[in-house]
Amino acid sequence: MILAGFARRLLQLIPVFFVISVVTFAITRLTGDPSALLLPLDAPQEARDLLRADLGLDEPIWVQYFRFMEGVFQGDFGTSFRYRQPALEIVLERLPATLELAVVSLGIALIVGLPVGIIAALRHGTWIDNAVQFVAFVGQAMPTFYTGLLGLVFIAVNVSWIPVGGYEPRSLRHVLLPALTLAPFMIAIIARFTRSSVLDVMGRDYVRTARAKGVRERRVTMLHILRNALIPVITIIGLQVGALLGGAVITEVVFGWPGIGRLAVTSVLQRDFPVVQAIVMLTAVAFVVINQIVDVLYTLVDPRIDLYGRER
Amino acid sequence: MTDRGVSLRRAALRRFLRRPSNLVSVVFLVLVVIAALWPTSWLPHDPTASDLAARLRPPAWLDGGSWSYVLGTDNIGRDVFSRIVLGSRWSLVISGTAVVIAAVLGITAGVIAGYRGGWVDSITMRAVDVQLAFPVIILVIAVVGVVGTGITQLILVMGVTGWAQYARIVRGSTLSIRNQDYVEAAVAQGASAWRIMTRDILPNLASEIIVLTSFNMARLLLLESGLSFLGLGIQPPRPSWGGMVGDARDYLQSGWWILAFAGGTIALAVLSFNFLGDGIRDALDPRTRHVGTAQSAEEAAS
Repeated sequence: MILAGFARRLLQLIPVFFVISVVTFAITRLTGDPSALLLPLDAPQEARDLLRADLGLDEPIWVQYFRFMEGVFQGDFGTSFRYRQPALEIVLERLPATLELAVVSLGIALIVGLPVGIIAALRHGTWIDNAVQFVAFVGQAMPTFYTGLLGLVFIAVNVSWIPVGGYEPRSLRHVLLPALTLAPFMIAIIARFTRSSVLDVMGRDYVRTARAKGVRERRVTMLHILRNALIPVITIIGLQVGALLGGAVITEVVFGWPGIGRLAVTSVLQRDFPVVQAIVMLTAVAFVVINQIVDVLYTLVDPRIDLYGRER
Repeated sequence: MTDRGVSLRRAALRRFLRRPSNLVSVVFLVLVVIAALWPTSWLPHDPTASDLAARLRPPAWLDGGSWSYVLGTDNIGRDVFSRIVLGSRWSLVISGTAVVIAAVLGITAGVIAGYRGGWVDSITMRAVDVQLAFPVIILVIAVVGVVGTGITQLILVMGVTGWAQYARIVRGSTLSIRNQDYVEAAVAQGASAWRIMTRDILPNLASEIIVLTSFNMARLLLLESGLSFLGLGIQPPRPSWGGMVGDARDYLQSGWWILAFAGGTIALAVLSFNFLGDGIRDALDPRTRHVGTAQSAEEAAS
């Protein structure tokens, strides 16, 4: 039953993937002629024609799209101009660094954001709640390049065991500062979402009924409120994970973190378009798939919701 | 306008002004707008002129600082204060115009999808899904990388990619307004779809659109300053807040004030727009007080 629903939802994704592929393909055609991007401005016309024929750019646009998709299905996004390696390989090489940063920063965000959001809701209207809301607003307004650089100035310079940027696989001291830079924004979102979710559940009839029955307050909180309130939070976590897989572009640049986000920036600056295309397409597809998985998980955790998001 | 309308508005304004954070935000944003309109020639220094004799001067109140350079100078002796003032112009113009484009596209799509329903609605909402699937910053840097880093390109890319934020919310509200009695009355009277959408639905979305616009200004300011920080946004010699932070990277120790003031200005401006949007929403609809709504998460990875 669940499998069938899951398969149907996957089928619904096909048009979404199609549009994603068209947009990805279209990006490099925005200027009309991608060969202009590859050659120096003063390249002779013969060189231009040769390259155009070589890349198949003299064929109709739909043939070009078809070729592009033919490659994509075989995991071939073309060869990186800069590294002379398949573009996909280069992107996947950067995946572990991006994943590591995503996992650690999301972990910090959950450890801080969930309890803070719950406390704010349980104490809503008090100074604690107001303070949480205020700090969450500030957290959401801080540009990561600002917090990141401030972290470098005040933390990395004064704490000898924290390096000023750079990357080592699975090294906590390397990942700590970038993760702390990325965390405030996510803490703010998770805390605010958790808070409103808990408040929402607190107003439900079943909570009032439980209290009326004389269930102890502690039990009401744990069993009736939190269990139900934390389910929707899964959605927001899914959105964060999806977004993080695209790499934390600015944070990665600030700390010289060799992830997908920084690769995107250097590839754009070096006009390495096969790599850019691979990144755009993979991150979009990953985002969609992860959110789809989250939706399905949601229905498993909360049987009141069916696979189409309707309440049963 | 009826007396009742006036008093409701007054009450909303009173509620808005009661919260200190709203007041502070409005004051700061007014200052930013004044800064943006301030004639360049009235600034204490030419924001683009370097003076190597005055390199890396600290702010006036510190040792070695002078009141001629209130917020100090940067690595080639440009006045940080003048650059922040002029930087506000481009940040506001770019984010502001992009917001207008995003709003027009998104509201149009949202109202039509919500009112028409059926396949129009399904297609629009699928398009929203696709748009939101692309990490905005990666999409924008990819496009800017192809079409180049002009102001016009920047505005267009940021504006066009921002439509989905509006469309999703406007469509939801249109759906609920569509079933109101007055809309059904208009349909029964034979009003055209265009008339219903523009006269009956759109005016009722006004407060929501104002709130959304304030939040989106904050979002696009962050995006623009991030792009300028990366060197893909506003190009030198034109000063920009994000670009100043980018320049400050190499002078974190010797010129920390560049980072502190330029970055601080961005954070304050973004914070003010967020407070403004939140404050207006709460003031217009007191029922939602103390129920914060989570903002979209797709900006997390920036």
